[in-house]
Amino acid sequence: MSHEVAEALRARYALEGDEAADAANLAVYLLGALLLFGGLASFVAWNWSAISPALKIGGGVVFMLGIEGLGYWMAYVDRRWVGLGQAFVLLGALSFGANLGLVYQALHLEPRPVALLAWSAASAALALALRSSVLAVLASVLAFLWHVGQVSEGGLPGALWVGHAIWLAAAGWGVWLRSAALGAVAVVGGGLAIAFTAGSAESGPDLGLIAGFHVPIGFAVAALGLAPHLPRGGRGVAQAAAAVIVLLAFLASFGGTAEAVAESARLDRLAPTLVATAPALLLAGVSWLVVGGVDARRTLAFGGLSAGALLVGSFAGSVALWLIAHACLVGRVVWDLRRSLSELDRGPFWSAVLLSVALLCARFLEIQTHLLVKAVAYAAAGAGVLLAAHFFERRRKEASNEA
Amino acid sequence: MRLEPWRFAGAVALQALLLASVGVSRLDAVRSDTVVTLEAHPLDPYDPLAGYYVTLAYTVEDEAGAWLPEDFEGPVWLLLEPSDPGSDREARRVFRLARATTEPPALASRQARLRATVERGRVRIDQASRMYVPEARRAAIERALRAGSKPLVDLRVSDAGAAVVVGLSVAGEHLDPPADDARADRRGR
Repeated sequence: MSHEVAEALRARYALEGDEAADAANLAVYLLGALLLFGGLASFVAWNWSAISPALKIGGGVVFMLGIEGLGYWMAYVDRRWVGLGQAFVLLGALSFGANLGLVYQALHLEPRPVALLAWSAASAALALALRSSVLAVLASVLAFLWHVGQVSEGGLPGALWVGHAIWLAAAGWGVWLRSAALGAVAVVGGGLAIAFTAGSAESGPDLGLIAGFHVPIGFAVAALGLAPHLPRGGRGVAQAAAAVIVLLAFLASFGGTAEAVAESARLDRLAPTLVATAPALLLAGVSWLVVGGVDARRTLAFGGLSAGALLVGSFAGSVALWLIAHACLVGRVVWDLRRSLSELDRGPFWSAVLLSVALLCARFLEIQTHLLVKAVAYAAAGAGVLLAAHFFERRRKEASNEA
Repeated sequence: MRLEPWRFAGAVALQALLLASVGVSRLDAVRSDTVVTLEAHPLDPYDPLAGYYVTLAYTVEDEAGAWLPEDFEGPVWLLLEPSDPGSDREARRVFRLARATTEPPALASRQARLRATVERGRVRIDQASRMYVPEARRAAIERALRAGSKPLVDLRVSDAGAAVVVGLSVAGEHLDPPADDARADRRGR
């Protein structure tokens, strides 16, 4: 190999590393925005009667426009705070949903499925205006949620085929924006749409809904298996698809388990959720190895222990085992954070933040917690993640300057 | 990459427009002076974006089926009037069903009409099946409902028949009902 070729290769791989780092760094900011939205939505749902509905809606709209304007200025005009700016624009697009909730609450209206479509269209408009793959992902996910609602309730004739149109559009959009995350949403959505179509042909939409859970997992496993052999863009899509599935698995399993433990639900109600999510939970350990690139033995130890304890604990109805599973996961977060701070390594830092956010988000639908407590906790956690991301990156920069 | 600000402004304007379009169909009802009170029987679920609510089904919905053609599905109208003088319902200012029709009925004095839909043989008043409840009031309302009391629901009604739920009273618990004096003035036509 000539010196020039070696230099070119080195430059290329260094560039790839920077791009991947930027994307993951942005992801941490976006997770912060997601948590802040959790706080906002819980605050709206608290339904504080001391404030008039008109004032609530006015405040919500001013907040949405203000945070979007601020984010636009930070990320696209000033350009010194790109990650934080994009997080604020995302928070604005998410707060559109909270504002919808406010309007429904003020007029005591029953939410219509078309509201999800309106939210998706509003996010798509912002995504096109800003050429933002983050907002394109939000728009696509909302369109898929609307589609799932239509299929499960049999609301729209031809809804099955609309799902195919959505994932094809998301795939095309992903190619145009060169976004691995959007490609991942298209892969998972494509799996859902195929499963719905096949399931509906066999035994009606209900089976399609259950099959819809398994097929995307199969897609992600296949994508992960193929990942090392794929070209650069395909590898990103495969890894992002695995991350999406892992996140879904955590949301479904922890949310379901927490509800079951709190309400002492019968095992037969809990079993379908766990059976459906068990493969994805097992996938979590594998994906940590591939996506996170962190230490294999510790990953297997923490991931395997927690997933195993969670499954066994839930099936046996044992709160103690369920708590052990959570303790393992919290232990993993603490371990990763300690390592990332001492070595200033991004891998464990992102892994810890992602896991913490997954654990927190799983509590979003829990009705046993006071809504105001939830609102404050989510807002504080969101602000904490944004601050942590900011200071971690600053510390890394200072350390590299000193070196 | 610097983007044209007008694109961003256009997208934000679309957001505001979409948000406004959600409530615009009920604007006439919000401004209406006509308030009717109906008997209801509720449930108690949760919406992650808008909060806790009681699901409402109305006595007049149950009674409307008798006025409609068999197997009819689609939009219908409920004509409401104050209950018979001296009756228990009249004392509680509850409106009763005069008749249900498939065409918009003409209104006489102190009458109101409501748009409803028949779906799978069940009559439902359009967009009047929820009342969102502040979390702080939820426990008290739930206790009152569990005691078996029938709630009374105030609806503001436009001339076109659109309704907006504005208040709920059950066993001494009141949620945002119109002030009593205003209610007496505005009641009926």
